[in-house]
Amino acid sequence: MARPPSPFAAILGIGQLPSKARYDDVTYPELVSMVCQQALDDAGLDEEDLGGIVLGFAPDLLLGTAEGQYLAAYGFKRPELFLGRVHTAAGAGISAFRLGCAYACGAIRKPILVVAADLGSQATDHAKVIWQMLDPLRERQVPMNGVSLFACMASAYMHAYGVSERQLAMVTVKNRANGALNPFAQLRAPVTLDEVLASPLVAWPIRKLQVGPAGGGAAAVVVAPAHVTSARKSVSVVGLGACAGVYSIGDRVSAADPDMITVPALTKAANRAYRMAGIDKPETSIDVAEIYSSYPVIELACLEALGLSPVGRAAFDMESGRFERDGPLPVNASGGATCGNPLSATALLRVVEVVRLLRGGAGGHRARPPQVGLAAGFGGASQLHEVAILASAG
Amino acid sequence: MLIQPDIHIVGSWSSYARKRTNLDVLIHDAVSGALRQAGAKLEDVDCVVSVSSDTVDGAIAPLLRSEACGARGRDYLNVTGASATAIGAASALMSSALAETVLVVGWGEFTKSVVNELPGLETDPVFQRPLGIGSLQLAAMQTNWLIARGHVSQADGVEFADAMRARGQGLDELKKGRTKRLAAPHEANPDGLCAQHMPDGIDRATALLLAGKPAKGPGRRLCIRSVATRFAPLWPQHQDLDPAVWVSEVLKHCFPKGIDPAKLSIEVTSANAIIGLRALNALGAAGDWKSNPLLNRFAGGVAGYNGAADGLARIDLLARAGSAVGTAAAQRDALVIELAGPIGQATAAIHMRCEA
Repeated sequence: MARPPSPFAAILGIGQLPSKARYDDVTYPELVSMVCQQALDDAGLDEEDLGGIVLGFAPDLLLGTAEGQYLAAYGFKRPELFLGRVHTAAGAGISAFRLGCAYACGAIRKPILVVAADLGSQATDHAKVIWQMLDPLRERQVPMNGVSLFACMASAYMHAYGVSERQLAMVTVKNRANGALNPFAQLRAPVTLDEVLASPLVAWPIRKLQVGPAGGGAAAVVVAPAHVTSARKSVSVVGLGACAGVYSIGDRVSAADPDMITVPALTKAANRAYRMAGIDKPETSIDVAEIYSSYPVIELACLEALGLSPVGRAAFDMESGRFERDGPLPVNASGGATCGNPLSATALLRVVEVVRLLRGGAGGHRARPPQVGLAAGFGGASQLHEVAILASAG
Repeated sequence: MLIQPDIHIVGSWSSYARKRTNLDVLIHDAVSGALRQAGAKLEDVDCVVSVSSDTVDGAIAPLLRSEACGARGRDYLNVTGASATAIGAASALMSSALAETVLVVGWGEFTKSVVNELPGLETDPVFQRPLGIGSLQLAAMQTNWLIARGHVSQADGVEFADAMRARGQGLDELKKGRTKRLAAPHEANPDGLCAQHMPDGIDRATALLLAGKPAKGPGRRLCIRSVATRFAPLWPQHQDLDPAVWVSEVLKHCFPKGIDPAKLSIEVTSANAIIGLRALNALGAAGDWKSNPLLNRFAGGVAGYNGAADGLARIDLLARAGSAVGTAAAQRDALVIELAGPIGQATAAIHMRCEA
């Protein structure tokens, strides 16, 4: 396949609502409406200027709904612009972003509003709803859920690379320190290594403080064809890549396909995005990264799959300070999903946070403002991976 | 909304469930069939786009079927709700150069779903469900609205539904599948919607292989020329509830110079026969299903409704089985009118040009 053009699209505006344990005072359509308006205001546009709206919303059963687009549409001033709901679990935000970019640059050639919002806190039993995502015949029969899956992954990762519980806990400590500085984060209190390691065990080696919180939140982005100019335009989309992984967890533990810890689908997605962006050395070309981190092992394995750390070395690079907010490659400077994880919106939040960093509004104490950022989404139990490379256009 | 993709259906296939058929197998068969039709291999596919209704197969994440779709190692998107939005997504990826060849896969396994609970989940949990309103009740209210204004009668709807079911029973494709009536009599509103209006759900998977260039070789080939969509929330504002108005609107986008239904093979898919019948009214006199045998020749959605993927199945029937209906019909352009959602408010027209 020929290489898509790069820069591919322009980001004209962003919107973000704080991640919260509960949004008691707003309905889902109101949440959608508020974040859409923020992004439009930031872009200096109104809905009359749009060519379409793409929604990332998955799983909607957390709100007790099916086919949630009909509910979300009450939050659109012009529902007739709706182009589709993308449902790729926690990857939905960047999947929707990719589709929005494709519409903006291909089929419609006008600005597209991409929105992802979640009120997961409305579920009476969050874990039980998430459990419904598993195959009813092959996986619900065994006690498998997100925690047990990623506990298996973490123990395999620690064994393979000689990583200690203390090193694993450093991911949480770093992200919680970053979240303390982010007004949009749900968890804003820093934690120490000792506190993490003393917190109750959920499923070894995962402890309570290492689990990303359930909650609500929302993000929205206005994308447009790359040639569209705007006084507020400051960030371009230069690379996009996606790849579906193996579904069945049992298929990940063979010697031939050991993706329980190596996440090869994310590597493929990243390589597609790097190729599109013309990046051949991501470890030196990427200035900031926002990646999925609902459990520490996900962040470590993803850093390696993205080529931002050698295989088996992410925990040691983490220990050296490489991924700290003021380090050579800040990772999850927002606190990431460790500090707030509204499932439908969590991937699009990564895009919004990177845009914010590239615009220079956040990102810490760096001698040189970041120029190139990476946002990654992680769908389901590693069944889909999305990578977006963004670059400062200023 | 109008997009004009100009993309070619180079292969298509539908797979129907028999007793004990696993949904993954059904999806795999549909994908294999479409690739076989196209003379292509999975390696030729850049991206897989899937579409299915939430929860119809006992799980809430269609993503878990991605591997059965052939998506492993490939670019993948799941775009829920309607076939038109999945085709729109494929078109966007292709026209923006993010993909050259896209496999669109849809499915519904209605006989395994908790159908009597599912419609309730589609309505607003805050404002509608406390009043006992599920999507069947919304459909009944819409039906009453249409009957009260003299647009249709309940008898018209029953006659249409019965005729479409009879038509479906004559089709080998629909005979193959497991089906299930989607509404029980006690759920019906006696003054409007009745169980007979509701379609028979069917277990089916459909795959379309889309490419920028036409396929080589003999056989009927369709090119998707335009996709027009119109969308409204669960209960549209301003009492705008008439599917004929919605369909007229999307047809105007697709056919700005006017439509000549006599030159088209047309299939209408909807979750309610009354809505499907009213959609045909938008075609004027040519929308008379009794006199025009190529209107809903494959029984529309009534005899084997497949939810969000039903539009894909209609396209497959028009593209593949359509070649067997005689020379004149086989050379016709095709139109699928899709009315997805509890009351058909995700309305679309998909116009396909016949190339062979």
